[in-house]
Amino acid sequence: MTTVLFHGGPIVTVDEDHQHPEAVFIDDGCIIFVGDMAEAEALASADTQRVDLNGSVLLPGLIDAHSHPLWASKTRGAPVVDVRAETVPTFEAVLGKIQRRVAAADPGEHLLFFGLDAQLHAGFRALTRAELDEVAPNNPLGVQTSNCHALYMNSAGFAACGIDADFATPTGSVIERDDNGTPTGKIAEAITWSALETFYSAWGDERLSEEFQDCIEQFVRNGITTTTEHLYLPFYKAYYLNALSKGWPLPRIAAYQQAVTPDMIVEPLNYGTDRLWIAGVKIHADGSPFIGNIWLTEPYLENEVTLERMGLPREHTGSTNYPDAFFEKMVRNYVGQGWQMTIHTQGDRTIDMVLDILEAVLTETPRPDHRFRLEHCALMRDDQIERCVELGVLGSFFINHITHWGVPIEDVLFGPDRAAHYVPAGSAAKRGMRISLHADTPMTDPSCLELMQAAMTRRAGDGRCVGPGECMDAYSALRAVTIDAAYQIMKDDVLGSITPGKYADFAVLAENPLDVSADDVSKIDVLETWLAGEKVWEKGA
Amino acid sequence: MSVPTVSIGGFLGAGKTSLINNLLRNASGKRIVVFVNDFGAINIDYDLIEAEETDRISLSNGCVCCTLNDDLVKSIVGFCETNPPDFFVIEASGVSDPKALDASLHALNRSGMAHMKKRLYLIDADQFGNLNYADTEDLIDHAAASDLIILNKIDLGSPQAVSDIEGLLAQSAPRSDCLKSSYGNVPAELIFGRSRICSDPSAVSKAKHDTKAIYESYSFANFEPLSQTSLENLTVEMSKTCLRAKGTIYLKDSPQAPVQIQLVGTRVNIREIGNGSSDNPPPTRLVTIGWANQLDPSTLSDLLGTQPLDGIST
Repeated sequence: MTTVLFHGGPIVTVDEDHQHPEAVFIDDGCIIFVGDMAEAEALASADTQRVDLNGSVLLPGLIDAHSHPLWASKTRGAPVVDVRAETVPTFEAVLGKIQRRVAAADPGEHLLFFGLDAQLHAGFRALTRAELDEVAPNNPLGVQTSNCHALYMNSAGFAACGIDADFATPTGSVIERDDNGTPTGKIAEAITWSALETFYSAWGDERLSEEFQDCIEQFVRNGITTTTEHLYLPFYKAYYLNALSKGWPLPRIAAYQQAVTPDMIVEPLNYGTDRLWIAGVKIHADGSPFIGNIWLTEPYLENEVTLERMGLPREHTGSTNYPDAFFEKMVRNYVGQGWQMTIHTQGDRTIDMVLDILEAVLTETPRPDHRFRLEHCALMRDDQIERCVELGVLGSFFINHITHWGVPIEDVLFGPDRAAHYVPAGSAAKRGMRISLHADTPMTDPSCLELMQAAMTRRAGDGRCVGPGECMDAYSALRAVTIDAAYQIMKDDVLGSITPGKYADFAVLAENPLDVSADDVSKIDVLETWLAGEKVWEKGA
Repeated sequence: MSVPTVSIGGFLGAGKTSLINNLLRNASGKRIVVFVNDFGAINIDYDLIEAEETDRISLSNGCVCCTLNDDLVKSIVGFCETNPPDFFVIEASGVSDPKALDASLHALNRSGMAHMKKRLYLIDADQFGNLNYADTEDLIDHAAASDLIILNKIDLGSPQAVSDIEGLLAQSAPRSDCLKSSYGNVPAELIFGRSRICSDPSAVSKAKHDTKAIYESYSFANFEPLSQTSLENLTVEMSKTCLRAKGTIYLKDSPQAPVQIQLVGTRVNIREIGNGSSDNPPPTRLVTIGWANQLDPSTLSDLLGTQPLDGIST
């Protein structure tokens, strides 16, 4: 049994019953005592390890409530070429990057590029299969959008994935075709992710294993001790068990299995005492605001970006991914199996539709403490926040939309009125909703401090504040990446605060995020990360 | 008053040291404090920089992006509190991502002590075409994140090669200015004077440091003078396995005359550096940097007849 006594610095418990303690005592991976130094000393023995914080700050391990660590390793890890706008500034530069990679390729080598962005890449235009065939006649090649929802491929790519004129488009997916039914280059939604698996498997498991290990380090070096694998598929289990058996510092993973039909089997499991468990089911009700497939009451703005680059028709209000009856059948099936539901919703009309179904289901078969979640919530309206609170439905907010795409959201996609309440985390928290914030890695990088800063400042790329009325206070933002995030994954009894009886998961920070100015929160150094009573990461070690 | 800061990046051997020396010689009375980030156990770069001793600060044993940012910040704060110069120049190691300096500069910017004035990035026009795919792409990404790209050594590159690189940069680094030079000869006024180029470090995203060991570096010191044959064998070995080597060595034929050896890519340059009659001759040493899977310390040890000092990988 290993015992550790932490003292000598501010301790932010995020537990109103244990405020400003002097010491924390842990035993065998669990918190035993939180309080006065003298009482903690009484518990300690000669073998107890003493951690003098020396003025640094002890917090509960941070929680990102919606992420994809394994999928991120597939999507962004080498040999995928990063063409996100922060690295490759323009569309022409992206083309240059693709051409040079093709020139260096082995015959038949599978080539993937991640991060094409209609809003952020100046000079963007949609790629076609014909154009990509000219660039790469001999290699399967795919270019994935930064929002992850769409993929452009050449002929060899389509052939490798088995998608041709005779291939039936799965319900919920999009394959753009010419008059003869031949795919013209772009696919979107679930078919994108299954097509990409063709590339990932061509590269083999060794590559994935290495990239997964790197990705895990990205989380723990940011003080994240728990996250989710949204879009979990049963075959992911082997990679996760491998990580656990190798002793990698894998954060605790709440897995939400991806459902694309109503008849999938969801196997309950929980490994290594809350290190990997099936938490529920994830369904996409709609797609991405950045490719136009979300369902809105008011149309997109009309300009060069929406009409030309994104190719949207005028008066475009989008749609949901699945036919209503099919979607409802999925929801009813997995709710009936007793799973917690997390539903991807971006457009306000989609949220109306989903809340109607959830309300009907909950009326017919009431379920206390269901904690059904809506994911991302880009254009959630005020009345919908009210309705969620009444129904006990929770929002998990993708706040990094504001920091990464705030400028195009306000200027070219939705206008200032809708931007002012885009991802309305502040309003939801004020109404008493126990919200969470997320980075949705691979879409943005994992950092709960960045999430807090984004929610507190709502500062976009050019420095402007998008929707000052939605800015959160520091403590509410901290709750959204600790105790309230734990609540959303049904683990607030063992995670999310420094409370006796909970797991000894901690982040040690150089400064207190409740004290520094909002614009500096993300710059705070994470010094150490503790998981189940073990120090799993230390800065500079 | 906040001290303007210039960072200088560039692949191994692109000419960063020459550029800095040129800027120092043409500083027109401005006081410039130079931070040198060596990637090796011996501070060769430090010795080659011609600034006054106290204004030449070495950050060795690691690339600036991961381990040295704290030292850099502390050192800059020290200067600002006691004797602020007119400019800081930070030479990033040849293998570090220039964006990695942004976190340090953000902290300094907040404190009002120093601010980023310009990010320079040097490209070796002669060796660019010999780089492999991965290094070429790193270099282009780094160049695209800088304010001013200096296409150096154009005297060595063919006009066609230079024009090809310019075309590539126009396509792939469209937001950076580009300037051609030889021997790092760039008008100091362009770097230190007023210009439209100004950057905000906070606007650029955090760099990621790849934690896998890609490059290794071995340093050797105080070995015996080499025979002409040993020197030839050494240069052949280094041009096969090193990306960059620098050092001062002595030859058996003229043990009083130290020789500087410089290797960049496949190009080796050996020249006498004088000082032979001095009471304080420069010590013998050699720093080598290469791919982790190619650089072989035991072969180099055999050739030099001495064991390496601690190796470093990043």
